[in-house]
Amino acid sequence: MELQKYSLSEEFETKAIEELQSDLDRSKTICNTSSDLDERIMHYYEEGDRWRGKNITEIMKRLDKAYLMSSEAEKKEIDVKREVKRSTVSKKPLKKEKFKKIIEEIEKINQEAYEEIKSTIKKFKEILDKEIEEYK
Amino acid sequence: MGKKEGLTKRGLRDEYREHAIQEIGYSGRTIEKLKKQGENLHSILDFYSNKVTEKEEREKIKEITAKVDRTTIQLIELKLDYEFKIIPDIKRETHRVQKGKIDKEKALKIEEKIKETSEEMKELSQEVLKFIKDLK
Repeated sequence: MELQKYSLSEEFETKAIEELQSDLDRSKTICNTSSDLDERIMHYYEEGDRWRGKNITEIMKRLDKAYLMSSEAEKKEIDVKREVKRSTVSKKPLKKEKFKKIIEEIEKINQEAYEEIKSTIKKFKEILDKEIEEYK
Repeated sequence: MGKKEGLTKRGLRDEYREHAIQEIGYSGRTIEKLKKQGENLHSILDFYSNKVTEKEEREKIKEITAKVDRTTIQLIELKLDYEFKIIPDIKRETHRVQKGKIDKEKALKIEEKIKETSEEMKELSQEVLKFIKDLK
């Protein structure tokens, strides 16, 4: 996307690495968020309540999915480091297409994981609203 | 077209861009601080839930804990929205690849929600404090 505008130059490398770092930061946020939510939701797990039990199981599934997706995105960091190293050793610019592909893959995974987390939060809020309502 | 205000129809001027980045950083830190506050309140309530024996007090702890978690989750969601929706816009603009794409309204809406959540957290802190004071 954005990288198409840059030529194979030092500027491209800098921007590409910067952009990649932001994407990886977002993957990390997703991983941390899913662990955070995972811990909280377990607090409300009660087997006696079927509605809650069913919803919590669904939330856990989604959280695990988001977590695994983001871990996958983080792993791509290795591919990138390899590319950077190769470019440094050979003194040739980074392979634009390859780099672009990795960034796009990470962006796609991040976006899907984000959607999963958002729908998880929505469901979790419903559980908490019900919980709060019960004590009124 | 008349004179357009802010970010929606014009590219970001350097000074505004700097200002926007600072603001984002400030909001991010505010969210983190409030989130931490929520986690602390949750721990305090956990501590007392192991101490109290009265049914009424136990129920009250459960109720406040659910409220604290509801507010903390709201903060987690705001943080995600910032990271996935607002920050990429700012960065894109910084790279001057795409101009005038920052949705100012979206950013302001999130700011407003942070303010509301901050108030909620303040009230919850007071509720916890009152509860502890009233404990026999």
